[in-house]
Amino acid sequence: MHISEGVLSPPVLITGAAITLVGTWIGLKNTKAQQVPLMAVLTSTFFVASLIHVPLGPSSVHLVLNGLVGILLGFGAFPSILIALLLQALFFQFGGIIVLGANTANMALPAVIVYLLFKKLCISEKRRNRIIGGFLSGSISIILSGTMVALCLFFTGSNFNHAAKTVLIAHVPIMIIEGIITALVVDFIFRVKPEMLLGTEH
Amino acid sequence: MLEESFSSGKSIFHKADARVKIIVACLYILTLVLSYDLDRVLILFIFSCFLIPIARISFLKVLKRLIVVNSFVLFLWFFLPFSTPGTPVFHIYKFVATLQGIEQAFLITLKANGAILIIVSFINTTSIPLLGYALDKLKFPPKFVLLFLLTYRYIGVIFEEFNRLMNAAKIRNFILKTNFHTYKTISYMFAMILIRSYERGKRVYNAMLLRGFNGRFYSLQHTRLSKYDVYISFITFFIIAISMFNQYILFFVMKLIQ
Repeated sequence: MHISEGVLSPPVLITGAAITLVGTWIGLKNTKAQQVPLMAVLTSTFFVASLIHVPLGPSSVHLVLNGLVGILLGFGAFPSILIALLLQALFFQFGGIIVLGANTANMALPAVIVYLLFKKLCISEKRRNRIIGGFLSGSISIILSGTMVALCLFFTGSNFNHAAKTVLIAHVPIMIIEGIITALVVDFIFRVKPEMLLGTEH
Repeated sequence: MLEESFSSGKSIFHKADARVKIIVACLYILTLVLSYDLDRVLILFIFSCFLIPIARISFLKVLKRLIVVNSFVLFLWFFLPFSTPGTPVFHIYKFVATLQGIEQAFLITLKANGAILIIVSFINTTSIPLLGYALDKLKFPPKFVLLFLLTYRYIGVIFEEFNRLMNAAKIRNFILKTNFHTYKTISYMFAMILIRSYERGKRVYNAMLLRGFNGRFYSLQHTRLSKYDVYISFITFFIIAISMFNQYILFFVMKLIQ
């Protein structure tokens, strides 16, 4: 969920911007020049994912897939998500410019966390492990994102606590769908194009 | 699929340099976001509404853009008035709305909408490629600028690719439903797009190398600052100054009338 401009308090905005700045710096430093076009196509895929609506009961949710971005790009998730969100702010007016740091941190930090935790599991030789790794990456990154959005609201003011709780609850059904989809995508990529996950150039 | 309907035009916003626009727009939004005084926020918001006709953008198109942000704002309206302690105004069932809560929700509404109007009039009046070059000139890391430009370039390609696969599936009677089959189909479609994108990314890089690519895109437009940059900077600083000193100005006007 994108937080709009004018909601968060200055300390929250500054913390978010600081996390994003450091993350993006590390991400760009780890990226070789030849990886940039590759990263760009993955970033645009991530952007397009947010336009795809998947049915869920009577309603539908759009894909987030920040866990998948984390598994594929590692720390590169920071610049990637930052740019996807910047373009969303410019094209659809989701989020905003000053709040961009906080919004990016909310999605990219969980992406990097699941990368550090579950990358090994996602590239396991056993299919069962890959499915579990993918599911955990997808679902945990979403629930962490939801928690971070809730925390952003909560630290802005204690009168935001009900809104924050609702945001968190709304992330639970999305968490399951994202888990299933990330697991299937990771498994598919491993079987068809393993070097994308293993990062071996040839 | 991506509309840049505001980026062509002949207003002073369209003629001004993108670097100047980025900087002054950020200053303006920052002032708006960090103001907590109702008068000041109101002044900043009202002036941001005037930017749209100055940029010669149709209000109707902007209103469409505002719907998205206001769905989030509406969500906050359901909670904030009732969860903020203060003087009660009215109550629905057992939930009491307070003056302080309503004021905070109102402030957020003004800020969120004002920020969008500023972005639309300052930033969306520049095309994305020009914006990328402006970021380059503002000393953003070259890799970041390159990522920004290439991502913009590939969004259309990948969206089309997804639609193509989706149409092929629809012809085979694929219907989106809440079941595992739907999720599986969408996942595999998506994975296929990722793999194709990966291969495309490699091809693109090799093609770029052949043409002497050295990690940077160059802009052939050598922009120099013009009078239009002075105009929009002046407008912005004028608005910020008025909002900062609104009480003194009001006091002064009162004195003059007397």
